[in-house]
Amino acid sequence: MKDDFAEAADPREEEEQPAAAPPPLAEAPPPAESKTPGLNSVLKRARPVVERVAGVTARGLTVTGRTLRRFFKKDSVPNLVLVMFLLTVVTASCVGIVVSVTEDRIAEGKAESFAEALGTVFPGLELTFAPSGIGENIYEGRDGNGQLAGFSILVSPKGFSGFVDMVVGVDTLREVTGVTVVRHRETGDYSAVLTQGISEALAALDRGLQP
Amino acid sequence: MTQTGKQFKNGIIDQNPVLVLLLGMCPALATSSSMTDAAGMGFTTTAVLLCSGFTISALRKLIPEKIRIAAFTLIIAGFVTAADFLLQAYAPATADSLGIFIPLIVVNCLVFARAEVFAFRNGVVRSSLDGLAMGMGFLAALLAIAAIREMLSAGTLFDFRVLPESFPAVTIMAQPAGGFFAVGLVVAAMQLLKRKGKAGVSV
Repeated sequence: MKDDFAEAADPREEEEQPAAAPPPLAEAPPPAESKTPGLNSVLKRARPVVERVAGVTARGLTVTGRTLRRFFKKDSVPNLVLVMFLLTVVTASCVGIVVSVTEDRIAEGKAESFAEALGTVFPGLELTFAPSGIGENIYEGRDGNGQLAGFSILVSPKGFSGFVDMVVGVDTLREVTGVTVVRHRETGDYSAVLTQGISEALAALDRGLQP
Repeated sequence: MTQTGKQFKNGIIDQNPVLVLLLGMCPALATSSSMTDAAGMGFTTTAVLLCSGFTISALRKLIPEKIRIAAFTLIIAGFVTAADFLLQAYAPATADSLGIFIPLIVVNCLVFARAEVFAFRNGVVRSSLDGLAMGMGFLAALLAIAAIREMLSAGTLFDFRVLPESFPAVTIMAQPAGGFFAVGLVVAAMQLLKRKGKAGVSV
């Protein structure tokens, strides 16, 4: 209770100070020759108004701050809640802004690398890929003239530490044009094993044997 | 030495996060198998340290002691998320190779420790500099470890071949066990350096 009275005493004292502030500013030397006399006179007349408004705003903010502080005391639960709430709102907004600024670029990059991955099984050809109606992971590749050149099929067989994402290319003659590993989660050594296994399987296919 | 100089010396040598304070060991071990990864991780962590140091120091008067841990986590997570998206957009290769370790910067003990020990108790300029200095120390340590690991396992540094092809590749250095070996070596080297620096102390 005592603290409340002490704080109630302060605003009255503080109110006298801003009133003392304007006079010193009014004694400031007038601006030296101005190249725009019209603007100069507008500024001269605007200054006391601006000072008044600034004074009132400062006082209003101080009183508001003080009343808020009275309710939201430093370690009280309402203050904890308020601070966390404000922090969360501000942080989330900033992250939201960053996300919205970057999402187009990220989507572009993903589409580009996806198209690149589909094209790796048709080396030397420039194809554009579109989802074919045949299956979910089957994309048809058409060359510059719109001619169907082949299909890229996404497969994900199980590896030792997750799935191995691969692309299999099949051309219009039902020949396998190539297999590339897009992403694997194996440890470093096993990628060599993977590559070797794929080339052996393809070689066996070429010979007409079951891989 | 100026105050700023002292802070940098502190961050890079006297209190090097990985080699002296032993903080942030997990990303140090995981991302130091190649120097490009190490550099990426080092720079990202430095950015997060700098930004979180600045922000937490700026807000230190407003955050009540009781919830400072939650507030730190929130602020650091915000910056790491922003860094993650920015990396994915503007440096997708780095984001891909660092993978899950970028979001893991949130729980990097180093960032949290500097927030608690330094940023929450010091001014904005000092805290930003501390974040920068610690980040540089982290980067330097990571690069040192990665140099050993990459050189021995692949014979390259930053993907430039340094050792002749005939050099036998010590592939274990690219794996977690090798990471521990390399970290142990560099920590020991740092301890040796520090003790030799103190005149008259026998190792």
